[in-house]
Amino acid sequence: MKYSLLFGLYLSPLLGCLLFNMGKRFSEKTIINISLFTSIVPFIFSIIFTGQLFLHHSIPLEIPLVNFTLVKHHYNYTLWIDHNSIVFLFLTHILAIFVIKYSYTYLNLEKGFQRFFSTIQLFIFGMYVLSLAGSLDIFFAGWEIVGLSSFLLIAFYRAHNRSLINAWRVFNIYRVCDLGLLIGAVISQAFYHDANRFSFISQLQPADLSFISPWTIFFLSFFMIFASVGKSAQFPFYNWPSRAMEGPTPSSAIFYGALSIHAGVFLLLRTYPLWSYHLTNTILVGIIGLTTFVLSKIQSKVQANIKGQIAYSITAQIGIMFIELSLGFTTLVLIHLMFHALYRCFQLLVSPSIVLSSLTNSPQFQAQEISVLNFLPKRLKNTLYILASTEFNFDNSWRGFHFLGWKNIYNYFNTIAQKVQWYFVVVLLIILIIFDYKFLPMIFPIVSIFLTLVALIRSTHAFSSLFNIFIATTVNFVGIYYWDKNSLDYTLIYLIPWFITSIITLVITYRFRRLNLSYFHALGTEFPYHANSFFICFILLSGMPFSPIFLAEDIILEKFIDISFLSTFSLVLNFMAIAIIYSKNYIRLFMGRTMKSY
Amino acid sequence: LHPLTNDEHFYALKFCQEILERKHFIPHLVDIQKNIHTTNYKSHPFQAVFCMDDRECGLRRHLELINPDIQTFGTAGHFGIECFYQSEIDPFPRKHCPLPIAPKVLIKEKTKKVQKIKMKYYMWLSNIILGSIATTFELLLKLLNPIKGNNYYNIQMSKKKSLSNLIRSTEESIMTNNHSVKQGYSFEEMARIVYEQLQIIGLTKNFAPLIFIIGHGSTSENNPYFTAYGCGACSGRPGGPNAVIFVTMANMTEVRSILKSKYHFFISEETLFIAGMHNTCSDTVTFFDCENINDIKLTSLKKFQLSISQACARNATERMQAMPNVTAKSIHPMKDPKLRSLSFFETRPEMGHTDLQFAIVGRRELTHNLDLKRKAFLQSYDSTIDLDGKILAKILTAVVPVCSGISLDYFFSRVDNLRFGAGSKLPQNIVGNIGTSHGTESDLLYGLPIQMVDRHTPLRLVIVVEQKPHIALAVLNTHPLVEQIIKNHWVYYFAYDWEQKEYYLFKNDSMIKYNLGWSI
Repeated sequence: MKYSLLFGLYLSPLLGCLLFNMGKRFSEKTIINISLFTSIVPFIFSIIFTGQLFLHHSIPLEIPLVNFTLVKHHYNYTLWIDHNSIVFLFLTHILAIFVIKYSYTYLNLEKGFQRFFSTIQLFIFGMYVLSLAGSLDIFFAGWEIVGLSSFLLIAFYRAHNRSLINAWRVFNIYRVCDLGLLIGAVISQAFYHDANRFSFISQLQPADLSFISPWTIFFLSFFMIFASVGKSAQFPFYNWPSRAMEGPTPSSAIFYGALSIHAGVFLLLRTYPLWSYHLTNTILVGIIGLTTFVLSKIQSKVQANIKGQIAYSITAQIGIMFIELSLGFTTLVLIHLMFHALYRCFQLLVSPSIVLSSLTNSPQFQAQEISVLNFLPKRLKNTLYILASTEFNFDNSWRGFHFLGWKNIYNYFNTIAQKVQWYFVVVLLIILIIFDYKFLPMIFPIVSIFLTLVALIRSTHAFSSLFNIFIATTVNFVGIYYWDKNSLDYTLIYLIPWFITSIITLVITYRFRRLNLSYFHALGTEFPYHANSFFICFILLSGMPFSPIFLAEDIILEKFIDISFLSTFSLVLNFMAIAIIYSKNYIRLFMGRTMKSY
Repeated sequence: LHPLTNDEHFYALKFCQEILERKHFIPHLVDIQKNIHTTNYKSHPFQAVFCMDDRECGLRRHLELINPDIQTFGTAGHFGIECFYQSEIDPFPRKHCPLPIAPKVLIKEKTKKVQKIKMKYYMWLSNIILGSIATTFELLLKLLNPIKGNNYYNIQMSKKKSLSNLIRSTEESIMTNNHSVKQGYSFEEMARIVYEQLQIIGLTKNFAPLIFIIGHGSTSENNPYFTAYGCGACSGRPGGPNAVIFVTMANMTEVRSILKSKYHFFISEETLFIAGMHNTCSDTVTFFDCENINDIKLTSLKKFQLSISQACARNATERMQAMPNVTAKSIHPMKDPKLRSLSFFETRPEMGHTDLQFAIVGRRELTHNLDLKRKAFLQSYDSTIDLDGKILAKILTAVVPVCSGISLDYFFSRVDNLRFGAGSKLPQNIVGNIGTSHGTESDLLYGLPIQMVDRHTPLRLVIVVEQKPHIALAVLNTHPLVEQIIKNHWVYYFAYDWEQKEYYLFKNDSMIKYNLGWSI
């Protein structure tokens, strides 16, 4: 406990971020000094602290941090320090200081200088949380912060519609995969206490797991792998890093070259004893890694632009890391990760100098690589080239599947959705409640899921989609109340902040209810207060770490799993939909470049 | 008051633009009018021919102030040499002449073997794990300590140049970059080039013992727009090789004998041409091939080197003060121009053609000792030896397209940077050695990034020609491009009658006497 106050030093980047968002404009020099200060102070502390640990041979070590009880739910936040976290922590420190120093001159006189540094500091804080987290809860918090700051930096240039679309896309992938982690954390906590903590996971023996149902472990590991696949851009989602290279070069370097993209590998390293218990999971990880490696290696060879080339090379290397993980070489993965992160970060930073080096006879330009592809027959080679340059039709086939196979169902659903308004549903529910049918508890989550899907599909207008999702959540909670009349004891902690933020956003968007969300409206300059309050509500609602909603999510999900699996699923879908719809609303309403001329 | 109609709005904008332009160019025109010049017929010990570029303008002024013995000239930076040039590190030949011209000659630099050995070492190194670790630390060191790095222009500016095929040995033509070219020049061609070039700048007599031909280039790291800082007349390449080629030609005894017999153009054996290159970013001047010079010339060369390094230092301080964010109480870490040119962090290595507004075609006496604040292209031209305007026509075909191209590039990139320019430089991505894009999915970007133009005032170019108005008007019909640019008012076209001290402006297909007062 004597350490726990000192660990507050890791909060300093967050404080810097908050300071920059207080509404005051700072000069560039001040911003740099503050940012360097907030990242150097934890660095010095880390050096002293880990030096002490190494001297006393007390690694790994668990440090209790906060201990409190909220609505009969016991929160025990700890830090877990082992070799993995020390490597990741120092990687963060070094690259953070370096990138801040680089950005000082690089971003000189740029609009949004302060915004850039506040976001970078938020990201650094997220990485501290991620690498030091003692349990999956806190890990999830860091994971979320990293995702949010990533979204903000891809959308750094608010006048470029293409970057906003890409930011939204990446955020959606992050969000879907985050929920894998969330469900994993909840399942692990629900089924056996303490499985949440890394100190427990790291000392797991196969004997400990033998008495638990193999399906539970399989699902738990599956969700973990799903989460890391999204974050580390592996097989089904391996196309996004090339699209995410929209922010300033230093931010791309630190996010997609170095730290953020390796977070998935880090999660798998942390939970290695858990998911490697089943052979199925190890094979799954290996196959994912191999597929990604092959596909992105071929794709990186056909990229015409330098950042896309680097992005696909990064995913290919992480594919190799996944293969190494499935074979059990955890130490090798750690070393590989460290040097890969450093190398890619610098490679991205100096990527504009490719022009000069290609003008000269530099090795990058002239070297004829000896590759398997050179020995292939010409026809196959050309076929591969075309396939790779269209990204193996991966995105297109998704779209084709969506529009051909699902077109009828989609249209049918859409017509129903247009005819069935929310008030019909509410009237139906009231009738059902009055007559008290047996299957009533099942009806509520189903209706909620239906309304969520309606909100997702019909998110063409600002107000209507928000209202749909509001009704969907309400219906779900009514259902829970119907199951368990005492549920208000623990749901209120979620419901009160949720209700306030929802009402605020509904009031804000009611003014713009006629605007079509297929276009960008760029109202942020005209209505800065609307935009800012909408953004704050959005990050609170999407479960910004350590906000009331974040604390409540744990409790609710845990209790819900005891009550009804369907309700839990519908609530999780709700969380996902809230983030997607709110981010879309925020981007389309308040950002972008309009055709309007003043 | 009724709301403005579209036409009225347009006229209001046009009016404002013209007022702004007048406000900026009239003080300088008055200065030129008032400038009392003393024509000095004494022979100078040094003559230096620079590029007409606006960045050389400040250097020339400081050089003349420091050492009044130096006479300076300005001309298009390719020095009349239209060729493909392949240096020892270029994988293929590059064009070293203005963009519209298709060169017919290829000139190569002799290759050395050292480079290739180093390449193999790198290839082996980067393919194994240890190699990648080593490269990581090398990159880290390079980022933190840029001075140690060895870059393209540092190699390009090595002090020894040996041209392998300057003299044409065969008449065979080969294909390069989809052009059929011949290797090297014949002596007649060389003599013609030297004669025409010296005639254009008015250097036909009183040759100094040392004549410096100084091209210019720019070094910057991590910068896809490095050619925008290069020499416009050499298609964005450094002008050093052109200077070397010109000097080698002019120093040949065969060429001088042809000059004497055919063109009645006498350059004494005392006269020696020396090539140099001015790095406009770090403000240093390198001289090429100075080994075989006799002692007397070497001492005077050292004298010249001393004064030009002083001039460079003064020019650098003056230039840095105009840089954004670098003032006396500077907060920018890169205060040193040499550091700026080598740093990987820097997005504004130099100012480029920022605030370009004038192109003055005339004798140096017009602008001697005049602080034009790095705004003017200065092309030397002696109207007293050009009575029918033939030389002027030749000059305008080079000057008008190059200068108006640069000026309009800056103009439009500044006016609407997102549409006509390239936006910010920071998120840019290089696409296949063709261009840049914003992120990985956008269209290719044209124009200049905001980092290059944010200090620019969007004004149209003012071309001032020291010549009688009727000759200046007659000359316009010689080249269709010049005619289009001037007749459609993309630039202002002034003729300055030096004897009467009157300006004439081209308007409605005629030269009208222009009043420098505030009437329009």
